Amino acid sequence: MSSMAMNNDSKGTGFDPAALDELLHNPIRLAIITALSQVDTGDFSWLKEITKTTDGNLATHLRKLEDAGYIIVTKTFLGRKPASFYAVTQQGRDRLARYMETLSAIVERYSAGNQ
Amino acid sequence: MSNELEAVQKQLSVMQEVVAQCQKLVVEDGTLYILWGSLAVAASVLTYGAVWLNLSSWVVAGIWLGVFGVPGFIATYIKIRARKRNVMTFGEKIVIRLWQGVWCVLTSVAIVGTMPEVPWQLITMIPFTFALVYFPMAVLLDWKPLTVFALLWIVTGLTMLFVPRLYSFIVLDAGIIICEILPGILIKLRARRFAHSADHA
Repeated sequence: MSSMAMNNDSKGTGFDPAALDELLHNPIRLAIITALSQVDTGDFSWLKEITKTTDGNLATHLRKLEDAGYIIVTKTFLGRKPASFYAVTQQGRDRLARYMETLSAIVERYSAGNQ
Repeated sequence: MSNELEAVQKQLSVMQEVVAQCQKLVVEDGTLYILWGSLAVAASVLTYGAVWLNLSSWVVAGIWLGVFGVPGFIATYIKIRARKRNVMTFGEKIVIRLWQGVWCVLTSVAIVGTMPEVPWQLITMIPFTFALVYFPMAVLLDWKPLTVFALLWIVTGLTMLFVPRLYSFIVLDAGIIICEILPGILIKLRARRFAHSADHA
């Protein structure tokens, strides 16, 4: 993907924004998947603390990531309270790694251009 | 600087901030080391008294179950329940499994080892079990001194094998204080320092 990002450029900058994973390009979704990649599981309230967003907004972003197969949800009970625990899937890890590669390639290219 | 680079740097800073927040999740704070160490010393001192008074081996087994096994299990259960339940790190998951394994092995060994028909040397499995657990713990906690304490546990176990039974409990107590309670205190101090520095990061 990173090589695609470098070549399909309409403005001659060597960068194609469309090549970046659109799902991960949103800061909240990126924060969610980065946080989940650092732990085994995390629940809704922890992700809310990390992303500093509202319940509705977080739920929407979680659903998008879940629908794309980047994360999985396990519903359980803590005492009598229902709780949802989220974990990143292998597909989600791969996409995050690719996304990071693309970002690094862009930064490197700019650094090289400034030298 | 182009908007494109600015956007990329913004995304990278989001990731950096999240990773920094995740680093605050401390895997181990040393409480279980101090807890298990203190219980083992208490049980061992009482065992020493029971042997001195020539009490039945059933009394000794009862001491280990009542002073070490049951309170240790309850306290560990409470500690695991009291942890921040809304997130589980990879390291924490393994550490919990390791401590559960330690509890099973040590309680069984401590009780079975006090029976008259069982060779008393079985009790030396306690230091060797700790030594075995400390090696992966050192990697998980990223704290190399724990491997030194693991080696000290092996020395303790070997020493216990070569001294008379009655004195082996004194050696075990010394081993617990040096290799269990002391690293527990050091890990606790380290965890506090780590949490403090993460808060200021």
